[in-house]
Amino acid sequence: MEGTKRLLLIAGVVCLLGTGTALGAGFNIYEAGAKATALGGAFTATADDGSAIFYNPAGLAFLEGSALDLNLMPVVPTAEFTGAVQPDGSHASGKTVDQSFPIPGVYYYQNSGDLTWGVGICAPFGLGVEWEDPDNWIGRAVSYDVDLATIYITPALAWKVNEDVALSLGVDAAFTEIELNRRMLTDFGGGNASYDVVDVQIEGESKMNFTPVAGAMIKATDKLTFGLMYHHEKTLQIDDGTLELANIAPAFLEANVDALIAGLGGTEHEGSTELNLPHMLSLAVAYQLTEKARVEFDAVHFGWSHFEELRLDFGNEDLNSTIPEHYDDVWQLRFGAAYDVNEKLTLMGGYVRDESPQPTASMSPLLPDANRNDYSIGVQYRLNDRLTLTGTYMGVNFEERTNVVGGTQVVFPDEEEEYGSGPYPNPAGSYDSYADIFGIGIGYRF
Amino acid sequence: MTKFTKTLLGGVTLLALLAAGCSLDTPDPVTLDYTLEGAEYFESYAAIGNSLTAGFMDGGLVMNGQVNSYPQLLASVLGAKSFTFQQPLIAFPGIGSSTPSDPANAAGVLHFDGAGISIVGETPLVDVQSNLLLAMLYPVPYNNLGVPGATTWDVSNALDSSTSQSPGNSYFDFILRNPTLGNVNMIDQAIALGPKLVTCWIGNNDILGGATSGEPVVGVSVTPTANFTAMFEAILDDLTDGVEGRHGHTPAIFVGNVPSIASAPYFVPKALFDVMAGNPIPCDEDAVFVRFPALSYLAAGGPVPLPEEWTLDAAEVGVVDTAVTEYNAAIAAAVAARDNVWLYDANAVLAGLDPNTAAAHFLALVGTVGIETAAATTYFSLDGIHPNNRGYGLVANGFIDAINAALGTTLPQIDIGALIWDPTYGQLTPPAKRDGLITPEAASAMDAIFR
Repeated sequence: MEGTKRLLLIAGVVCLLGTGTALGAGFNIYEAGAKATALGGAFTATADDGSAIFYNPAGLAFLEGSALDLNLMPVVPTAEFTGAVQPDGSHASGKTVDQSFPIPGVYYYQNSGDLTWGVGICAPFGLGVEWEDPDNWIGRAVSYDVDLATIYITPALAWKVNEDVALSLGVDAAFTEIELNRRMLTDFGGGNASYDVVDVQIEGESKMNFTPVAGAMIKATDKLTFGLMYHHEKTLQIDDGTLELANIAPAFLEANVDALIAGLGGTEHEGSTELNLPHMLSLAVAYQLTEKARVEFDAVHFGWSHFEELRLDFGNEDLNSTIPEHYDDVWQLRFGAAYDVNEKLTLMGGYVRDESPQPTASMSPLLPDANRNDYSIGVQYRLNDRLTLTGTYMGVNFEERTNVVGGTQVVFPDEEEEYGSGPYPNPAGSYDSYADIFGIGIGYRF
Repeated sequence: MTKFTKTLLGGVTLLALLAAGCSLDTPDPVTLDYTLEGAEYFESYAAIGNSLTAGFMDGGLVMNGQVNSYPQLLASVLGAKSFTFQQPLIAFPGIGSSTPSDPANAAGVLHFDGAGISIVGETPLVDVQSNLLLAMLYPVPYNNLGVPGATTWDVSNALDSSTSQSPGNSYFDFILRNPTLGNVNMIDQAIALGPKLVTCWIGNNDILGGATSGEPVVGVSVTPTANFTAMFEAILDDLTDGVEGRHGHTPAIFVGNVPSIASAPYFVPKALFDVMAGNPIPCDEDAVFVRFPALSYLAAGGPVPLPEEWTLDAAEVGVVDTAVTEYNAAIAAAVAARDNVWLYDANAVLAGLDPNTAAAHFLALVGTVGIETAAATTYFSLDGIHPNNRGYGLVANGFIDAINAALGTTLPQIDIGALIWDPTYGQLTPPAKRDGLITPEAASAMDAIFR
């Protein structure tokens, strides 16, 4: 009965937070717990709270009793765009609207002897980029508002092989929701008149997808711990996507655009797509420097080459589109340090070097990614034997990045085939982004 | 605190400071290089001109001819880049300039019906928009902006038929599509397309209007050279400035010059006309050329001597020839003065056609060699002024040569032998008793083309 209540609680939290989305490496969100975030995500060889279910479920094996860990990490991203200089000397600019995405991390685990089971809910992939002034935003033909949220529900079982070694297996049950808003523009002779004629909204929710997750933790010496985490790559299938076309043409074009929409088969369309998510493999080492100080280094491999393209298939050649992505695999480097000031208080810091998996040509209003340096700080306070509070802040600092190299916009061969030397719907220019991530965690031991 | 813990705390503080020091910087604008080279010019193409550009054939506009317009043929070899090339396509039986049998109808194009030339079909006026104008709703300007009847003045000034130099010429209305497209002229519509390649073949109607009336008078039915020169140069400069200002690149512009009237079988040398008519025809004036439809006039019992509007005498030919020569000199000078403009010498190419074969009228050939061979011999359509599929292939090849020479590219030539012109439009009917080789409607079509 008690277990049922807990599950209901978890479900409630998920309903509250389930559509939270954010900006991440590529669009990964590695912030699945407040403590781990404070340590720069270097947590695979530590994994000593419920968020181990994401960072390394083998860590559960070394925990005792049962506990509920609730984490909420509001991400506040901002991006700015400066367009390339136009023939008349002007340049476009754009900025994202102020948004905050509360990323959930909800975990429960229960230990009995050498086995510990746990279940967690987190949102390791997501994206939310909404540009100000959609009527004038230069990239609106690509996107003026995109939201992508994935939820991973992960039951896992950890086995303490002996006092130094633990192994774990689990299942990532995941689904995604996508919404994309863009405009169709047309350019009607003379002057510089250009009109937005159709507003396009694409929405879809995937089926549940199941892939394995695994972890291992080895305490090599009193001071040295190795950790390994692996989440398998995913292909999330969206079968019941919808595409809606709305005629927003000025009055004198309304009839033309109505005819165009009729020619496309009406305002409502159904379609399908697939979202490919990368595997995550973390190789970690932690070292207990002193009784009070501990450092960790994680190298995290993302199999982003699985994210080849986003094909939107509406069974209609004029509506189908393929967004080329062609991401590359990347290694992230994560460093974390913790210092126990006393039995109740721990101070933490972290640094992340995060190389973007996104090729220059794929950088767009949908996702202007770039290499990042993240800095984190945090504090954890143990109120009593049962209750632990954690607070953290991470600054995600993107490097400025442009898609214009040597005076030429970098595009994929397919785009060059279609549009020649341009102009392309994806605007030429430079992006800079920044994100604040705040985190609070409440851990309760039963 | 140990030394280590001090270091650690210091590190944490430093991280905090670093994090606080990071923020969003508005990026500085980068610059794009808009310079085009070689085949990059082939990525977008707009054609400016008159009936010759529109693909006007057999006295009207119809898909069968339009798909063989020289801009369409040129677009087809510009090749791999999949930009679309849109024309104001018109379904069969097309829209001709003939007088229909019923004023509630629009006449179609002309065809050879086995005995002579007649209108291939008619469409009730109320059905023209719904049945014939296939690309009416195309939401941006057509790439082929050629309007039959357009003069040099019209290119920069006409918005529709009422504001053109040929009021009542509805081709302006359904090709320029104002006010829907914002009341903009042919040049601005071309600029809006951001063309990297432009062809411009204009000036013919500034002379032909006079020549086909039989009474060419400079300043009345022939545009004075000074005016033509100024307007022609303005077209080139407005196009260049407009595309540069709005799209950043400099378009490559290829211009055709004005062919001599002697190249067109519509203007029949008097001696040949007498042969075709079967006996020497007395004329009001000392004719050098007789207009082709005079055959129909005679067959219908028109009185002789042939009134002077059917003929051009030496003085009139002189007026026209002088204008052609002066225009072409002005065009050559305008091209030479501009880095982004090159010439296709259409006049020289068409003048080189053999008047007994390639430049002969279909009707002058069909009696001896039959329909298929006649159709595969002449480069002109039934109206005698406008090329047929083969003739437009010849023009396209001329532009292709000029483009390759200017841009250092290797566009292939059009295979003219593969262009089949069917002057019967598949509507061949058994020969019937005729008043002449050309029906009165067809004759008036030929007359009305340039009005």
